Amino acid sequence: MALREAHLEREAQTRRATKQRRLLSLGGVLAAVIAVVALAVGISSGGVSATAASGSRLSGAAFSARLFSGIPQHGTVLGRPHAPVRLVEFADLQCPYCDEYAVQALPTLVRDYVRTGEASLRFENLSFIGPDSVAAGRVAAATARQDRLWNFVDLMYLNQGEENTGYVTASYLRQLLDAVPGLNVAAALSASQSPSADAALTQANAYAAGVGVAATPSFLIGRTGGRLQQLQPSTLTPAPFVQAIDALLKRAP
Amino acid sequence: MTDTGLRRVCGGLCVAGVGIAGYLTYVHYAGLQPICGVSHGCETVQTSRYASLLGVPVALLGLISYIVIFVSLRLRGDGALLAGYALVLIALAFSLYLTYREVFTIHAICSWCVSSAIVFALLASVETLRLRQIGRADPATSHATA
Repeated sequence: MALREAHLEREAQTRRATKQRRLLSLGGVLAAVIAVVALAVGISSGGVSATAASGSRLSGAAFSARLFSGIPQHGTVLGRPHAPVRLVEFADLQCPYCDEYAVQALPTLVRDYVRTGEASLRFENLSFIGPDSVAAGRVAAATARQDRLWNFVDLMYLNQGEENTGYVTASYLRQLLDAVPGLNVAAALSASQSPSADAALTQANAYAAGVGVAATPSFLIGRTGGRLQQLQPSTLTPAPFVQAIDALLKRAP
Repeated sequence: MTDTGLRRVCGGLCVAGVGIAGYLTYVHYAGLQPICGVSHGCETVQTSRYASLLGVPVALLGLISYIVIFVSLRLRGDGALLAGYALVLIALAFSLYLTYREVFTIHAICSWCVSSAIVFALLASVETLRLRQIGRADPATSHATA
């Protein structure tokens, strides 16, 4: 009898211990879940570094000025107009992948192909993400009228904020424009409010629709004077662009 | 329903999830525009800052999550069940956060992403049922203690 009671007591103890272990495990799981989710959300929403968009000082002004210094600009085109290869980029100024391209690939392409006169780049501004894209797009169109679009666009990417948070304010734009070498800021601000700025955005959208571009960044590439073809880079690093440009340069005109 | 039955339901949900996340991963790397139906927001969401985490597309993270959850269903023991459950809860919480961003920040809805969030919610419900069933079972007979 006593043996049976001892056995039952042992079973009850085992049950209690198992239940306690499970509760502890579940508690551990929930704590781990909260920690991982908090980290992921923190990374996702806080990925913006300290730039003009977050109220800090402007990033990359000197780098950007050096990058484009001495390279001819004509409206939305960077480089020699008759360079053998031309690359057209369709981008939204708020698009983070366009930012990735601008940061990772563009400096190499400008240094190795545009500056040497082998390629020209054209920027088509698709402002579809939200009001901040339109506000920035209008100013970009205004800078194109002074042949300074590439400086402004680059500064915009180097100081990109969180999408549709209203970071494209008048003071943010002013800060960027002030850093564009040789730009008449007052004239640019005035032009950004003119119907021609809207017309430029409409025209870019129409061009994109005409060539079947629906996502950003998208690219067209070809020999100058010839037909442009869609380029779908495997990464937004210089490699796929370098490969495509080199292949076109090797082809006879 | 038995634990085997619940695991089958989870398995089916994982297959659906792999289909959704796999498609979004494919269109991301192929540079294509996702078919979006009536919502028309997939492209906007897919090109947003929130479409990647530390440079990894969230669609790929979702795909990996579904595969790992599926694998956890094939394994026995408390550890596998708890690990699967933890991953489902993480994925669900992050999906809800992304849906919040779609509605309040990006102002566009990606129907594929919402579908994936629903699949994670269903997975969380079924996995909770599994945990409750195993919790009620006698520790001596429960497979989870094996």
